[in-house]
Amino acid sequence: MSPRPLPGPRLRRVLALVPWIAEHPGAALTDIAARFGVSEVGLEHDLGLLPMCGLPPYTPDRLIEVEIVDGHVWIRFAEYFERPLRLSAEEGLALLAAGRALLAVPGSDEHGALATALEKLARVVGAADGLAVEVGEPPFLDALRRATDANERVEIDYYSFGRDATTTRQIDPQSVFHAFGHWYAAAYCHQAADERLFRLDRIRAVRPTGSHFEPPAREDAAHFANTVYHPRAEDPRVTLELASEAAWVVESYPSEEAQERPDGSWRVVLAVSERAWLERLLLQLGPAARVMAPPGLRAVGAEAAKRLLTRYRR
Amino acid sequence: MIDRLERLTNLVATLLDTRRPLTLDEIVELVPGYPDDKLAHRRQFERDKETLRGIGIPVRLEPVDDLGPEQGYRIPPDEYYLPPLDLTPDEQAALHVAVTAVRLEGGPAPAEALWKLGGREGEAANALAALPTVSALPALFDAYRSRAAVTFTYRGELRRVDPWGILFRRGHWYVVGHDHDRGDRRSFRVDRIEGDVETGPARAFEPPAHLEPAALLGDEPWRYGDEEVVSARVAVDAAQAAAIVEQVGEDAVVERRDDGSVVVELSVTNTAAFRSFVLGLLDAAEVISPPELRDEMRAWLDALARSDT
Repeated sequence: MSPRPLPGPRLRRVLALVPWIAEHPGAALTDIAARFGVSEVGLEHDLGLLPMCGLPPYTPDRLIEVEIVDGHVWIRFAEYFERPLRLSAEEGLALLAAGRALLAVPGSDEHGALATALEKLARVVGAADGLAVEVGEPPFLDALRRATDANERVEIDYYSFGRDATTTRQIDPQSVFHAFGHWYAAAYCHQAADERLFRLDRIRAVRPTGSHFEPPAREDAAHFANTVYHPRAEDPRVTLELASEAAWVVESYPSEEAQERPDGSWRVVLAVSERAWLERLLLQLGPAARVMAPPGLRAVGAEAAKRLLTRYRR
Repeated sequence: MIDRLERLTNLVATLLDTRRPLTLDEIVELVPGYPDDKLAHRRQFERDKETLRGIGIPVRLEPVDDLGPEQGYRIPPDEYYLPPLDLTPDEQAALHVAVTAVRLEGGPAPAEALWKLGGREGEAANALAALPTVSALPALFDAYRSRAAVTFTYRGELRRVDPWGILFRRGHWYVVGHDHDRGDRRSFRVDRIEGDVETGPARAFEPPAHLEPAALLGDEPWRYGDEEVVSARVAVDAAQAAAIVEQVGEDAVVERRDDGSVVVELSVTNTAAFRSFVLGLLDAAEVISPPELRDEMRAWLDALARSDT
């Protein structure tokens, strides 16, 4: 037998569905299912439960009435569910943070529907000015977003941190997105003849090429956008031992395995595509982190420290 | 047998509709589906109550009347019902775009976040941004919106803070507010809070009017600290110079060298954050002065360099 779904999430959905349907008599089942992101079967299952619900003593006049005719639905006698439940902290935070982040993206309409929606929401959630989201504004954000929308191939000067070198390359930008505090362009790079992620704050120049490329299917764009948080299979995996004061690493980077020990220390496995990224992390954590595996990377922190020390021996 | 969801729905309806708190015995009597055995139905009700509270339903335990010690449960309607938002279809569509364009990792799925606002209106957007979430964040947000003081461990110390605001900047969440023990404004990186956040009673403080968390946080991480201010000079190689000057501002530049490198001067009140900033630049940066900070950096690197033996 498959495990039964948890009642919490379904109850949340039912308590949100009932007020909406009651307020929109005769709404189509297909529309409701799409609106609430539930299958029609799931929706009918939820609705099938309601005629058994109501108030004591559960005589017919005290039960919720659900009528479904030709794929349209009416709900009556559910006055106590006339309004949805208040927003939880998670919901309020998700909505406000998403809205504020999108408003902070250069080029959004500061007085448009999103802004007024957020004002109404903030009043109800009780969070007027105190929640702010900054996403930064790298110089070529606008140029890259326009090139992405228009499927324009562009030439960029790109500073590679790992190799400490600036290269010029032609790219087909397929999506532009913000993650972990930085803007990235996911693009097909003609120099590498492969997909690459470019950090926008390391792009030093953008020039038009006058040529266009075939846009990828939408799924592909979504796949690109995922690459930054879903490491590629071929990226090396590094096992780190972290002291308790470095536990923030576990929450700040997508780890593939994370085990906490009784003393508060952690053992995590991270995907590391760039050596420089690992160097930076180890230099910053110092004695609070140790590479356990693979053996070939155990000395990465020490080697980087020795290299940097040459600057301090002068 | 009565479906658990059915029993929970009836329980919510009954506790919402009642004028006075209902005792456990009354609830079990009124709401079908509880076992007859006293111990079993108490356990069952406890589980149901936790499920309801888990999704944010305010189940309150209150005296049944003024006369006796008996206690009962109810859901105060004014705490349950979402006040009318009166969102226009355009505004609903804009929120739909927002939650699909910007994902709070680990938060509710976009469709679920919109359930109580009437579901999805209009079209979804392509993913544009992902914000990380950290376990302490919802609790801090809840404390902030209900004006409750919080207590948590930060760098091994217990801190009591009135959360005035919450800010996402450069990939990290910060809480800013009044620190009771320091008697002053402080900011904390939320992912560095150790363990759980304890929340005090609601309406315990009022944040300053027209507060902007961004202004409270100050500009740079090396300034989020209590230490005495030190002016530190850092040399940055040509390759990184432009990006760093853009970050710290033209005013911080004290020297431009012929090889394209620059020297910037920073006011540091948090040496750990300062060290992380300089080390983040790898070979491209070096602490020049004061000697104490330069020595500290050398000692830090020395210790790490010797760690492979």
